[in-house]
Amino acid sequence: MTPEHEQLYARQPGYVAANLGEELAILDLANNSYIGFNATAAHVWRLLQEPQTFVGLSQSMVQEFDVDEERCSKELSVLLDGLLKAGLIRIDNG
Amino acid sequence: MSLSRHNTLLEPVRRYRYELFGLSLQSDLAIPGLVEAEGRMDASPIQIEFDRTPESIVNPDYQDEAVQASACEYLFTYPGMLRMYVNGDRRIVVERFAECDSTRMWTLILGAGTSIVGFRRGFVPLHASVVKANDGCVALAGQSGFGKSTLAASLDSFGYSLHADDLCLIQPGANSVFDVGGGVRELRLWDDAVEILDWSAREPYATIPEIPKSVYRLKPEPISLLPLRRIYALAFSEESTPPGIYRLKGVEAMQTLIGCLRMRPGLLSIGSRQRTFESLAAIGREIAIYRLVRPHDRSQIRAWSERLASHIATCEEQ
Repeated sequence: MTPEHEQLYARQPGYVAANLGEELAILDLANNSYIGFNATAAHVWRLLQEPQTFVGLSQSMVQEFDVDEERCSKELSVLLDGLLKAGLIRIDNG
Repeated sequence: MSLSRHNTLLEPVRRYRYELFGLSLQSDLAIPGLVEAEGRMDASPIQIEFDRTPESIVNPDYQDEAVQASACEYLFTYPGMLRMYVNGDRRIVVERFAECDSTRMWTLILGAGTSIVGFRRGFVPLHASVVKANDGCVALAGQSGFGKSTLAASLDSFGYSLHADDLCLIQPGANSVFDVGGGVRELRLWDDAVEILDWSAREPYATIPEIPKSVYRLKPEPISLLPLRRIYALAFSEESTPPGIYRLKGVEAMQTLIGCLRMRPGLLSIGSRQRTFESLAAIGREIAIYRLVRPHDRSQIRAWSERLASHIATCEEQ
């Protein structure tokens, strides 16, 4: 396990989320745009209601979806990178 | 300050009252061919006035070649026809240019004007024709040229009568009920659609040669609010999407609804964008949304209407 896996990920404020069944849409008030989340991304967003570690997120994903740990870690890493780049989440250093 | 030409101390103001699209309207001029509403009206009806409008809006938050908009003002300019100024959620001022005929004028007022005041009041304006079905209604949505009115006209012969054409103003209500108010019972049909539908023997109420379309008024029915049961988003088939009726859910359903809104996307950024976003999401969750994909060939409209009529009938079984 790397130190990055122990850091906390948290949602950025300023977004309004709307549930669409398993999926989710998020309104970006600053940029007047919205972002659609599929079921797995929506699950991560919902977990991020409270700050979460990579490990915590990964464990929840493995329990919720039919996916092995290795593939889950890879896809979660890509998703969190994307959310960080889009400014939807931040790394919370406390 | 400007004074309305009716506003004198000696002459009481005559206002014509209507209930359309779930909105109460009071107009300085009568809407041709429409019966006035009786009984009590909404406490804050929408006023339609005919007067000079501003030529521009100060510091607009949004503008393009036809629209300027700020937090509570909208100015629509239709060259050679009219300028329409919408203030807040209850005042539409129309400056009509000499060349604009009455049919075009009312189409613009009752389309763009009521869309925007409805939007300001928290309604969701879809570009759709609406037919009555099973004590409720079904919307046929899509941008111009997708055959909304043609399908609605054809569905009439299968027992699904017209509720509203070209504008479906959805009112989010309690308990996941979404009501849609009836509009003027008239259809604007392309000349080739008139032939295909075999409506050539019918006398049009008006013609719009520059488009070219003919306007057909249908037998009057009481204008009412009906719960929305389904939305069919109209599309034409491509290699990747063969003809058929497909159920949409989640993000795809919401994306489709946004594509069917009867207002410029830029205007969504002004005013009640969070409320609109939440309403669209609620509609996407609670109302069954389908994509009706059919071939471009207009001669198949009858066969596709029959198929759609059978599909709509299944919501009566739900």
